[in-house]
Amino acid sequence: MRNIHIILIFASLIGCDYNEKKSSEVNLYSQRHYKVDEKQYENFTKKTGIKVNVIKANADELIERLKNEGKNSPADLFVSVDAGKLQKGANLGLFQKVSSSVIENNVSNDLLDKNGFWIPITYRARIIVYSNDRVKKEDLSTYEDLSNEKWKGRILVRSSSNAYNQALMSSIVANLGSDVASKWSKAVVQNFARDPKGSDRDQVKAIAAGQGDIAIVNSYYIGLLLSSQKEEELNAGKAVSVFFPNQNDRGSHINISGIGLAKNSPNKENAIKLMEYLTSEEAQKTYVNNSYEYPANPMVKPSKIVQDWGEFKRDNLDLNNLGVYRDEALKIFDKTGWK
Amino acid sequence: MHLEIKDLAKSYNHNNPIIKKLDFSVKKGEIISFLGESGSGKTTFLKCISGLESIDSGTIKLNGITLNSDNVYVKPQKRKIGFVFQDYPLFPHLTLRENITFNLNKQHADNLEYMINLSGLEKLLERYPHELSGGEQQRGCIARALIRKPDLLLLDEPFSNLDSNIKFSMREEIYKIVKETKTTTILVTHDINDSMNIADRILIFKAGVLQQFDNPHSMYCEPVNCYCAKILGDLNQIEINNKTFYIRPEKLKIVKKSDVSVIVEKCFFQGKEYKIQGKYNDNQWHLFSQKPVELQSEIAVEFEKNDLIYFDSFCKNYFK
Amino acid sequence: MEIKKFFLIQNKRWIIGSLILASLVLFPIFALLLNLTKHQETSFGYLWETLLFDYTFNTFYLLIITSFFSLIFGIFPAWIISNYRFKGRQLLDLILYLPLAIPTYIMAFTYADILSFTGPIQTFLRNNFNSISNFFNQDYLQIEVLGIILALALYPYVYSVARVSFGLIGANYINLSKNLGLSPTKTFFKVMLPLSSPAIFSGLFLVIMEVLNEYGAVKYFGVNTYTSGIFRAWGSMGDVGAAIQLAMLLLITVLIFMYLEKKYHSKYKFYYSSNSKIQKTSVLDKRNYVISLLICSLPFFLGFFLPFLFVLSNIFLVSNQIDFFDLLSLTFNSISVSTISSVLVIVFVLFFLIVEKFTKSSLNSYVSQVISLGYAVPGAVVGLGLIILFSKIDNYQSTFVFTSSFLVLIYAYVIRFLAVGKSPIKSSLEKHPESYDETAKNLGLGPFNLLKKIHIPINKFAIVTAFIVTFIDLLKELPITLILRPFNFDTLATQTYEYAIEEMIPMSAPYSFAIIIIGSFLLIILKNSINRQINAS
Repeated sequence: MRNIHIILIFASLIGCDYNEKKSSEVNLYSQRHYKVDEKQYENFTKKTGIKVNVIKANADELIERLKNEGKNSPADLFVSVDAGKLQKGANLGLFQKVSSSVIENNVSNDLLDKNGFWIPITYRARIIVYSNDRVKKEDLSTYEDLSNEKWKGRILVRSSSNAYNQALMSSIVANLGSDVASKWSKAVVQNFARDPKGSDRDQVKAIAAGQGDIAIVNSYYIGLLLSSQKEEELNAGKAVSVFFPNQNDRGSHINISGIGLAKNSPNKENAIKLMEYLTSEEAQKTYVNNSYEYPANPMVKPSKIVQDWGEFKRDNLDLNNLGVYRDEALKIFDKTGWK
Repeated sequence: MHLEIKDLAKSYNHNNPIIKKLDFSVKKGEIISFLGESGSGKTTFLKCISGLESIDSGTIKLNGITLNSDNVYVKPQKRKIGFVFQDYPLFPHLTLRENITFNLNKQHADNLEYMINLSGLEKLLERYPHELSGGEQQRGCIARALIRKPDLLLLDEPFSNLDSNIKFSMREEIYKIVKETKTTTILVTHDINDSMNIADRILIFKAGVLQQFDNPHSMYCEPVNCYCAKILGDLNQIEINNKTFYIRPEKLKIVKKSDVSVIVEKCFFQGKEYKIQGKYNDNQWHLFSQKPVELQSEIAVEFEKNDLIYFDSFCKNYFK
Repeated sequence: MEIKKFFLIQNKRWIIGSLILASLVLFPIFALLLNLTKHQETSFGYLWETLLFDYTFNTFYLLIITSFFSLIFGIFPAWIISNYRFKGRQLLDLILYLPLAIPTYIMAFTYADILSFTGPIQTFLRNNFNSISNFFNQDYLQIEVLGIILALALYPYVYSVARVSFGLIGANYINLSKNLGLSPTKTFFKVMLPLSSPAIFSGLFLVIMEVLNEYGAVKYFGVNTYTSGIFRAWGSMGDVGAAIQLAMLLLITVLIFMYLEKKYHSKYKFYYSSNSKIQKTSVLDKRNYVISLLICSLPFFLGFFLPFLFVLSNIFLVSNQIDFFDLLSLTFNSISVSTISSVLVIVFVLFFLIVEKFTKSSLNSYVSQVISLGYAVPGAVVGLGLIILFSKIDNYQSTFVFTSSFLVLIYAYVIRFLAVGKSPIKSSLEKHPESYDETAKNLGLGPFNLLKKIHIPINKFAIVTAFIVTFIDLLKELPITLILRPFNFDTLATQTYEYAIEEMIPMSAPYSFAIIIIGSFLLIILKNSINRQINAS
């Protein structure tokens, strides 16, 4: 008797979250998990009646999952905050080419994947913030300059295990070559105010605390600090200023949040509809006002706070390089002791 | 025969057989005392009979049914054997009544009142085990076993955990209960007094084999070897015509003059008599006296020739 | 010989059943290891040069610090509460367990925030005692601080075993040492502590396991341990081969600790007769009262009260942004999936233990020990292994039944937490004499009825304890859930984590709060019934 009960429970569990193929839906494997994303999907469903199902995990786990699921993967779209991971997915043959004129019209073409395997929805810059009290804007120039001795004991940055730093290093390897990147990394490590720890926002707080003078962080974090509920975070945000490096040469390093269309997508039409929606003006506006990212759609302006930082030149390196040189970047980090 | 055991052998590993070879039978209604030292395999033996342990070889037949043989093994659940363990394990979460009637067939349910009255547990039925004394728990276990009218009752050291003042009455109790119900019983113990008092026959077990199996009187007066003799009481050794004889202490009479004289070493007061420990020709002797005796004095003793015990084999260091 | 074979056949069905079940439990782990060793990327070579020493050193250093403080926070209050009567004792005994309701990663994020420059302590100092505020302006994200924080979250493991142990040690020993002239302090160090050491070591063992498995907290604090190395190799570098080599190192470390614990346990198996009079507690004088109060309330204050207060304050901060519907549905998710898994764990544990007891087969006692191994494997490794395993199965069947269902999630939970449920039940079973089983057999019971009519009733209390402890652990569980959850399924734990790593700690507060409240509630229930049981006997 008890055995039958157990079997029944199992059976119902299997059936339980089984996707009913009848109703219209689209399945996302997403690394992004902000409140704003939920809002976007809700709005999409309201508009189109298509249900959005999401599995959230980190990018590498999702890629492993996609790899292993193969033909029978229920995934339609893969969403990542790192072009490097999108490149990795494309490289593993997990995506199929997207061609939608709507999307092409919506986004800046230099942000699109040249191979057509992924599209951008937002982007951000990895910038240098500096203490208003202790650093003058003129002291700053390029990423490369961070290796200068004058910054000894003054640089704050998070761990190399974080994808944002890995992408930055990849871009440096892509732009300047392995050797230069290696030497640069070594020198920068010598200039660390402390061992890398904490998050991007922690670096800014540390500047406010006087534990360092400059930090390498993602642009939107400053936006988040400046709109924080906590007075102390607000103060920390106000204690620093934003600097876009390399404006006089190649431009500041950026990375995108983007989407790839899964190779075996079971709901391809719905997937493309979602991609088109997310790059539309309506959705892009929602992004910029909530997450302080830069929109992929050039028709939409970034939020006021972000606009105040001024316009900047983007490094228009093919973002696929952020994936191609990832391994090399990691090796450099390990070899030069950037923990 | 009600219980037949043939060639029973059991070992836990190849070098150490616990039971080398055991052969004996028990009549219906008999009380057998299985006597052996701690660790000699008594409990193992009981477990083998009850099916809780497997045997290496041999046959066990109970009431005409083969329980163990080369191609037969009856599960312990199916054997009609009652077993009372040394720690009187009544299930702690059940009342005495629930314990006794535990897993009881309908056909036996009517026996409850009889069993209760017989064991004197009427007023205690609704109590939990921790609210009962040791003796009451034990009687509860026995009632639980006997209510099912087993073909055989096994008692493992039933008296070891009891206070000495209860021991005597418990022996009586158990004897009464078992004889009333005409239950064939094997009780295992290391204490000879328990055996002598209530057993119809005593089986002495040592070194994995049966040493002697007979009624208490014969066991005591005609021990088959030194070990059996010593287990049941003290022995005094005496050489006569180059042969070694033995005699029990109580058979020695203290007289004014005789050929045999003992040098007194110790004199213990035992209430109803004095026990004297002394030396005779380098042998340690024990005997009894109504009056105290001075230490280091010499006393003359006398005995009947018939009371001498003789073994075929020399047993000075037998089973030391 | 033939008779022996014949006998074995009787129980064979059960033994085979348990072997099949055990292999179901262990198979994914082996399949994982087998599959992952196929990947032989060469990155590991350079790992050896650059990072291995770092990982090893950090792992063991962290272990040492956490262990040290866990012992301090656990043993001293346990001693005081076991032996002295004073006002507030009962309450303290209860609340000292509460830090178990707070997941380690929440403890870490919370304290990182509390101690940070923009946190309440430094802010308060800056506003009121500006001159000394600078002194407190340190970088608190150090391995030593992490060790203390983890100790604050994990000391209850040590406290609970020490408490039981000290409580049980018969009055005889204490009276004896008094008689031999030992002062209370000497009695503690020379008698009580050594006698309790096996129990304390098993509590410490659990602490060690948790530290080895810890991911969220070590990552945040920038401490590179084996576990974080595994994630880094596998995640960032996609170097599955290196990940598994590190995982094997971790597994070996765990096995060494397991072996030590067993050996220690068996060598120093002290039996306390359960009838021995419990030490009569003595009364404290005023000065000692205050000191004792301080010693006992400090772990509670730091390990529960302060973080709890902080989470609460964060909730008020974001009170107008809380999505109650979301909170409720996640709470439902967490509770249901934890309940189902805990029930399954208990059922499996009872099955394995009863087969072991009933058949007395040595094979089965190995099985019982081996099923605990799931605990040794880091949650994420279990998760990934199952994804790979079930994806393969699904690919053959052309379905995606398994990968997108709860089945896999619960399966992973059960594998990992079998050991947690087993422990209290096994100790309880061991306390009962074997003659219960033999009498039951003698009276006609088979294994199923033995379980139903005897062992479940007698061990009722341990079963409930096992359920609650497993449930709380599952409520807090993170890595497996992150990897294996089906579409649209979040738990309180995953949501907390996601907010926290996106540096939105206030937003994570309502979800942390839910976990803490549910956990605390259950712990209090548990402790109360423990107390009632002790008083009853």
